[in-house]
Amino acid sequence: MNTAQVLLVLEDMFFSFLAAFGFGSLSNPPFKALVCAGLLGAFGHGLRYFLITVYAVHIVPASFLSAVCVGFLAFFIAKKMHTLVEVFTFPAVLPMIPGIPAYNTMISLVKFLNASQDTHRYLEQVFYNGFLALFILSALVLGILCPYLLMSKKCWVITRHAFGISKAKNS
Amino acid sequence: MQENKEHLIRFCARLLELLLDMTVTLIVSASHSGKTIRIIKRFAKSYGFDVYLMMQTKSVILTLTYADDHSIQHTAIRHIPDLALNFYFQNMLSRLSWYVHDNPVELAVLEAKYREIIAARRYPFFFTLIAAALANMGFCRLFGGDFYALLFVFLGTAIAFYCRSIFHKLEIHHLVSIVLTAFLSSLTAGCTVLFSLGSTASIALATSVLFLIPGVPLLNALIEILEGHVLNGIEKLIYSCTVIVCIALGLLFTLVILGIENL
Repeated sequence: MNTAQVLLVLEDMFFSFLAAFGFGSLSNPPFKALVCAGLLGAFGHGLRYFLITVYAVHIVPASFLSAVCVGFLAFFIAKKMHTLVEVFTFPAVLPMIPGIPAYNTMISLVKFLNASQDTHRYLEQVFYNGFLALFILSALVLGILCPYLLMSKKCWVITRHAFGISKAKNS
Repeated sequence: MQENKEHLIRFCARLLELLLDMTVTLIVSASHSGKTIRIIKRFAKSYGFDVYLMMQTKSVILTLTYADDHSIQHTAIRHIPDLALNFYFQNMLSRLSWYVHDNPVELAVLEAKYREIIAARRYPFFFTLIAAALANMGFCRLFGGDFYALLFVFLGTAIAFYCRSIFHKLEIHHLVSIVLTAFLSSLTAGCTVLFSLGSTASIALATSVLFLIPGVPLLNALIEILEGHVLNGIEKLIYSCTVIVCIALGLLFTLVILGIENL
């Protein structure tokens, strides 16, 4: 791994921070959690980019691996901050959602309907992009659900003994 | 004895009102079914009640039963308004449920705390507008857009986001408003094609509508199916797919205007 690659990964992480932070702000989480979610998003997408460019891993397993890492990191941060895990994981995987394959599926479909010859070429594109989008999405969901599936009891009690609830006056 | 029972019946009715309000708040702020049920059950258990919950897309039914005397019970049904994502409510209600579970408090105190939570303001509108526009711009860069693509995606998202709030005020059907928003956003990004700026026009077009994708309902849907709330999951899945089809429709209008062969 040389300097140019490090710079590329850093650039990728910067823009994925923007994406995770911005899309996270739409769902109105607490501000501290929003910043953490943005950083997690940067980490996740950066890791995926690193795996794809440096180790030439296919995009689907790379997405799954990064989503698992994001899921477990989010679990530990959530435990520290007594905040629900979803508040971190949902914005963090948004930059990895397969937008371009989904777009290509639609474009190829329209081209397929329009074309008078070579139709099978467009149909092949529809299937390739459609399944790619589907598999990436499933990999992401399964990845961030790993902490839930493996230790659901621990995930449920994560908001126990939290700060922020002012002491009640029992009159 | 009789007086005590009447007191419990009144208490049950009051707790039921509060729990129904909480359930609706949780569902509207996009909490998945399993989590909603756990939180509401925890609240009820702290006061010695059992809770039975049935959730559908547009309505929720809740039965509250006193654990020691099943003749004391109330059932009520309520409608659910449109989705408005809010992780703050979910998080605070979850914390509050554990707080009540660990420290017994009076019902009036719980009601006051609940009001305090739902009175919290959202982020200012222009903050979310800029954040969403920057996010979409970041997205565009991740997929390899060049400078012009970034610029027009930023502008398109900002304009479309602002227009969506206007559509919301005019009470246009929300699926129609999504088609219009996607159209406006992609049309602005399509300026890169019209003026032939840069070489990554198709990336600009594709990413300009991504901020509309219902990511949270989509993830919730899959979680619910995995947790066994299959019907609720499928409802959310179909809803998300409908929204995605509407986005594609808006994008298609732009493509018809720009001419698909140019891409």
